[in-house]
Amino acid sequence: MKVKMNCEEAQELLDAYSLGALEKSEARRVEKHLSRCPSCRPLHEQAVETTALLALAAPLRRASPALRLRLRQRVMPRPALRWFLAPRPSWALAAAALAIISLGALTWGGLLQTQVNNLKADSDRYAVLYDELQRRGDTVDVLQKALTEAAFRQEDIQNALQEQGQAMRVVALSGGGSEDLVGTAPASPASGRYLWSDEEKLGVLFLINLPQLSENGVYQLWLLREGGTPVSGGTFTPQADGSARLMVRTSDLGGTVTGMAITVEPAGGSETPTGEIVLQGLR
Amino acid sequence: MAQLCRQDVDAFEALYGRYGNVVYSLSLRILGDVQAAEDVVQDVFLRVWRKPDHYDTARGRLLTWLLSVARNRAIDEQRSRGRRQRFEVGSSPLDGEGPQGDEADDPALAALLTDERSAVRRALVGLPPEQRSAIELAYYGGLTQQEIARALDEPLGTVKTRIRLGMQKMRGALADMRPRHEGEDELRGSSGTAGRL
Repeated sequence: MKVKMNCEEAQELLDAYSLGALEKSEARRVEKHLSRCPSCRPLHEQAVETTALLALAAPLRRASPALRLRLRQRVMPRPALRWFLAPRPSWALAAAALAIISLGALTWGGLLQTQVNNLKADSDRYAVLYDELQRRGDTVDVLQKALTEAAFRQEDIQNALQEQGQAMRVVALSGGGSEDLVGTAPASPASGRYLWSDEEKLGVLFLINLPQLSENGVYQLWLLREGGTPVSGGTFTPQADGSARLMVRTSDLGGTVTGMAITVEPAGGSETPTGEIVLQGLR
Repeated sequence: MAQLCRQDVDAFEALYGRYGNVVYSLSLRILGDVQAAEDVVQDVFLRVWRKPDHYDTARGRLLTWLLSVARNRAIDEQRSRGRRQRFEVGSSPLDGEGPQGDEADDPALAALLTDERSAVRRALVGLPPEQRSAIELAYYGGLTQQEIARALDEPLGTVKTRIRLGMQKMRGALADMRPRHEGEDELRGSSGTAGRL
């Protein structure tokens, strides 16, 4: 049962988290851990950097020039302002305009002036509205962030309670059965028991007297399937007193489990067993 | 970025000139649709324009941030359309030899981020095919580990391990280029725009 995600669990999930490949509830647990763990944050940033670089493997394509034009139009100053910023007309044009005016189009000039004044007033009003909208947008961002945080917290607690309930049901019912494990020569004092529930599709492994490992090693549980390759049940490191607990989702294993063993593997675990067996099932 | 914060249109155009095609290529790779990819590019760059302060210089390079934003936006779009690109093993963008996309007939485009692109492609090609495939399904296909396990008919634990080990190897292979690229100076696009954002 995992009430709080520890650094080891979080670091094991950082790459999948950066790829967006975790299920929502798991991703939120990682996010929650990162929000309170300064030592995992740099590792997360490295994972994000590596993930982002994957983009550079995509074949390079040229975006259409129309896209550049569309963007330019969107970021240019507003039309009303552009009107005032536009270069003044040449003297020749001004003279022509004057000639037209002198022919009796004085009223037209007055109308134009009114329109210019209206445009200027509109422009000022829009600028105020624009600033106001931007300010409100920022407030909404802050509120949205606070609400999301609260929702994450609530979900964390619900997840923890759910996991606790599942583990208790596995221990109380163990409808699938149990299997004892004993340590081999490198870890002979170690022993443990694996209980599982077919109904819950969950297993819980309890171990005691495990020797401590170096920083670069982890214990990895292997579940053996009939006629198949061993499947990882997860990695773990013992507590200071040599005990450990690991939950296994048996629905992820794909096939009937016929036995189990525990090996010592490099940090992060291995795809297939590479280390010596230190505990094995008694089945 | 300071220029963008002052709403400097020239700075914005320089930024687009430098990274526009890279962001577009990624979006097109994910969505497979020119119009949708252009919409994503437009959204990403307008977001930078409107909220340049959302980019935190302390948290990595501008290019990395732009690509992350674009990738998230493209995957969201892909999900909202209910489309999942079938990303089968063997259809990887890395298969085949020589330049791909529009690079072959556009030297300026081909010169864009040449070293970085080569390093990333080398690192991906160097992975065992099953690790590469799992990573590509997650990154370009937007699939979760569980969805990948179902798609490949493999146990979830195996998929998790493949992704973790594959990404560890990628990080190791790309670690050497990180110090050289801490600055954005050499990330000059086909527009030939110099300077730093």
